[in-house]
Amino acid sequence: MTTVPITDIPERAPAGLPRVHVRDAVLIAASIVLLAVTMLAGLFVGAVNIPPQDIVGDLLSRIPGVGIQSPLSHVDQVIVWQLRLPRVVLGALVGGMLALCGAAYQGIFRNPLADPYLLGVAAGAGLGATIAIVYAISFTLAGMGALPMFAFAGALLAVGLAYAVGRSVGAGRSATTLVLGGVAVAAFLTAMQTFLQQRHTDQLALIYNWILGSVATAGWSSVLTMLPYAVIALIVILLHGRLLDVMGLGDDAAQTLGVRTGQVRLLVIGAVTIGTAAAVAVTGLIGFVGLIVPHFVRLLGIRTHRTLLPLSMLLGASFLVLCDLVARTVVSPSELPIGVVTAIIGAPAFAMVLRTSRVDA
Amino acid sequence: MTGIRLERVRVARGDRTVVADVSMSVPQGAWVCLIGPNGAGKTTLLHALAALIPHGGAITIGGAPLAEMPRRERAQQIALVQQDAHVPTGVRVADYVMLGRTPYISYFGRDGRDDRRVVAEVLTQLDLLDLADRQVGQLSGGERQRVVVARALAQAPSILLLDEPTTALDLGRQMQVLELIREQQQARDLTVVSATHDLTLAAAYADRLALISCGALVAEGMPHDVLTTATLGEHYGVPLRVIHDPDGGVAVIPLRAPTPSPDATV
Repeated sequence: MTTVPITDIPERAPAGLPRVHVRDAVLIAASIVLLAVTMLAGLFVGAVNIPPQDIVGDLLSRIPGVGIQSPLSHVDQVIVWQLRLPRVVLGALVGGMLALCGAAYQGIFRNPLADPYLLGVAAGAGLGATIAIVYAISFTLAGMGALPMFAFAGALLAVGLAYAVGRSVGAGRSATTLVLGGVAVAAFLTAMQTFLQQRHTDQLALIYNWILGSVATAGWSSVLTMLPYAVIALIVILLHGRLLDVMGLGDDAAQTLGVRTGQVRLLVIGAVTIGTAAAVAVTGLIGFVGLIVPHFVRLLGIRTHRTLLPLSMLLGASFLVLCDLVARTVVSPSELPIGVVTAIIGAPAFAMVLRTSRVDA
Repeated sequence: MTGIRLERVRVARGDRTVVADVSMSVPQGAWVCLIGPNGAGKTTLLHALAALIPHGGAITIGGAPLAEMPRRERAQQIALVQQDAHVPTGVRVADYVMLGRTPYISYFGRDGRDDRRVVAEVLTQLDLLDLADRQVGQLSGGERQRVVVARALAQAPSILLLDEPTTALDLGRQMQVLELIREQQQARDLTVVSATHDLTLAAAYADRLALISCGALVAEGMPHDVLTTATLGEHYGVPLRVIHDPDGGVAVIPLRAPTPSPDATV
């Protein structure tokens, strides 16, 4: 091919490119600061009144080389390090994971209403958890209890089934057949769960409690259980940012650009499934985060996944930490289910942003 | 050499054979326009050329079998402008055009200096620099089609496939887009295969026309040889008359069966 002789071409990229990149970088930096602030707030506020400056003093005293004595009593130290901090970290981890996975699913299915539970993660995890509860199964394997283990396995199984059903119809080419496969599988598993619940009505409160979701945790085991899966999901999804943009053109167009659409979809679905299954396993079903946080980011005018994905993750983390803060303080010393709070805070806030936004949603 | 040769090409969609036994060749740097009635197989043939659907027989690009080309290399050679190309909501013109660079960026990679330079060049050539920051969805039909063509050109292809590139545009915008394609074709020595319903414009811009009817190639050649009253009448199945303008233009006049004029009934 002969190359076209070009004259009068500006040396640099068109004016639009760098300006937008600067805006994206600023937004990401700001949301990192926001996450730090909300996490500190989560650490400072709680049922037991511990002065924030003492918590900061305790944090400083743990830095090697800083010769300060911790101002906290032993009990307060346990509260901060074994109750509040793991809870805040778990909230950030789960919120970030759900928002990231929601953004990835909305991209891969080219549907703004897709959420991380689209292919049956919730139904599968629900059935798994119900089985563990009603049959009082109890064991610990590699630091994971029976309930999260069953929920995790149920979630993976559900998506695996949905994928198999969808593939058998559309040869993995079409996203729609996958979603329909997910609908069928979820309906079936939910019916099984309902059946089990009806047979064991004495356990309903326990099951219901799990379904509502909670990031309450004692110690670091939940965080450590989830962490490896979250890290895998995070790496795989973030690396696919550019390809998710290409997939947005539709399967045919993406293929003419040399992309193996089936393979990309499988990898992203796999990563999302592992990430959400791990989140659901340790905290139960927390809805809404994966749906509204990425939308909020889009309403800021962010469309490329390279920015949309990390920004959704950071803001989702802040959002859930904040919601948990509300959940455990407004009716203290008792707690609200966090899923209720995400919707009560999130829905009106989202409606307001939607109204004032001038960007196409 | 990037001429295209089709030898006894068959294409099926599911169980249905849509294109049967098409043989033709498109020389490098030529513009061939596929014409024919709805459902004749024009889009299917374009999709086969883009390797979106498998084909029987042989399609070769510069002598190399299309089916055996590595997909990335194929994407660097062949670009397709789809009919009603889907544009993701809210995406900016510059970002959209950058997606055309995909075949040159590694799986987990990101766009580099070269990619940004190519995008800047294409935006400049297609007079889109001022729109670079705008959302594609908010552009007018003509601007939007220019942006879609820009994405295909950012692929730096040697073969450009266009499926109904100007439907839904008014005559002026249609001609602007086609002029632009003609310009780029000559500047880049592109081989172009397009499909259209507009016979007059096809005759005005393409070097050669290929008339597809019921999946078969029924006529191929210079516009004034293909667009004849007899040929078109037979394959479109309606009465019409073709008028060749002395300046080289072609007009197709539909002939309605004579209906009684309203006055006659009075």
